[in-house]
Formats: sequence, structure tokens, C-alpha cells
Amino acid sequence: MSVATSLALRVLGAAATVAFLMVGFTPLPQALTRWMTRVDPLRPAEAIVVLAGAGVRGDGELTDVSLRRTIHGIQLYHRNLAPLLVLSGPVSQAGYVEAEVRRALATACGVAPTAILTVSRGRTTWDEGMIIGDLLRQRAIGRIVLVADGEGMGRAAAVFAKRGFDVIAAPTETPSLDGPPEGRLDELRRVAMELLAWLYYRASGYI
Amino acid sequence: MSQLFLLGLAVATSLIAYLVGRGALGLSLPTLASAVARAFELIGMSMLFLAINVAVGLFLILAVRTLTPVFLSVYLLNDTSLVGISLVQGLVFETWRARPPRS
Repeated sequence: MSVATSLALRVLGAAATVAFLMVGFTPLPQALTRWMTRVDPLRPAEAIVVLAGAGVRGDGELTDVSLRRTIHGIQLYHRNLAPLLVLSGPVSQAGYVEAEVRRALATACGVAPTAILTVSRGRTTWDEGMIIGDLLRQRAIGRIVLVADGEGMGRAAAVFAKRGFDVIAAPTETPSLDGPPEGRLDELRRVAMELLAWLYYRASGYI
Repeated sequence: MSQLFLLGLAVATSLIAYLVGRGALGLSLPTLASAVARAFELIGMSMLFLAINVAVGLFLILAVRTLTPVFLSVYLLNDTSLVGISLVQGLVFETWRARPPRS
């Protein structure tokens, strides 16, 4: 028992060490993210949907992820890809509503207030698909440009596609193959979380 | 560039440690091999703890979401500190496991 356990632990430890070196010192994580990222050619739609992204910090400012997604959505709006900008984001522990902070940023960046729709009830991607989906259906909207991060785009697009929307995937970025080891380890962590989420969504029948 | 620097740094300090071990401390080569094997066991146990922490954490989050009105994000698990915690757990447990029982 003890010898077999030790042998199994050695194999696991050696595999983890090799994996760590491959992740930290090769472009493997970025290649995985690129593989998971869905990017569609941009074309006109009826709405741009910017999914929530890690919320609002304690000081009331958007997190990096949320800010990046919001800016990307605003840029797409200014390219006249759609007349409606949907900004999603729930209330934070400190009481800030991500969607409203995003609205303030969008109006400051020249988006007409009447062109903004905020949604603050969705706490998961699936929630957002249901709630935003209902709101868009009421407006007879069928084609959307979807904004999310690269690694989560496949799952997010699948949620909206399952609700019958024609989804144009516009992820915030495609990762560069360069970068420091710490950034690569962080990238792999996000990829691993996304794979877990994708498995959960598949098992739950959400996508 | 940064990864080459870090790799070079690790190789250089490992080489110095090897020379100190062989020269000043008089350590043998076969014990180095067993030390590497032991290190892999410790890392392996830590990886096991990481997997258990993620699995149990996921289960608890989904259970709280299902059974109570409280919403916990799965992204709570998306934290680098969990790796550090798992590393400490693995080191302690594996060191404990490998100790011969008293009496």
C-alpha cells in the first residue's frame, strides 16, 4: 500500500512538475486559449450584448475584465454594428451595480442613453442568457454581437444560440503567444476554470 | 526573454547547490536521486490536495446555490492562493504519512 502510494505520488509529482514547466515556459496556455476562443467575422446585428465580467471593485471602479469588455462593446457600438448596447452586471458586495457603472462609462464615451439597456439580475452566464434573452425577444431581436473574454466565448455563445439567437462572437482579445511565466500560469488557471464550467454547462443541459 | 532569464537563474542556483552539496557537505549522488523522488512525492500529494480542494469547493458552492438562497460564485475557486494552501497541506500530510509510527 505504502510503496504503491509513494510510486503513484512520484508519478503525479513528476507529471505536475513537467506540466508546470510546459505551462510557464512555453506558449501552451495561450495556444489553449486560442483554441477555445470563438471569433466570428463582424457584421451588423440588432444588439451588442456585453456580459458581466468580475464586477466592480471595492472603490466603485470596474474590474479590469469588466472594463475591457465594456470598452470593447462601446467600440463596437461606435462602429455602428448595432443600435442597442446591452450592459450586464449584478450588484457587488459593496453595493455597486456593475451594469450601472458600465452605463455611466458608456454615456461618458458618447453612447446615447436611449441606446443602452442595463441588466443587473444575472449572476451566471446562464442567468444572463435567460434574462437578456427574454428582454431581447420582447424587442423582436434575433441577431446579437456577443462580447465576452476569449476562453469563455464558446460557452457564452452556446447559451444564447440555444435560446435561438444568431450569435456573432466578438471576444475582447486573442492572446499573444508571448508573455511572462506568471501570465501564462494565470492564463492556464482561467482556461482550467472555463473547461470546468463548460463541463458543468454540458452536464446540466445549459448548452 | 523573462522566461529564459528565470530558467537560467534556476539552473545556475541549482548548479551551485549541487556543488555545495557534493563538495562542502559531502553528499552522494544516489541520495540526490532519492531526494528528487521524495520531492516528487511531496509535490504529488500537494496536487492531490489541490484536486480535492477544487472538487469539494465546487460541490459546496453548488450545494449552497441549490439548497439556500445564497449565491456563491464558482470563481471563488479561481484563486492562486488555493495552490499555495494545497502545497502546504500536501507537504504537511505527506511528511506526516512518511513518518514511521511510534513504538
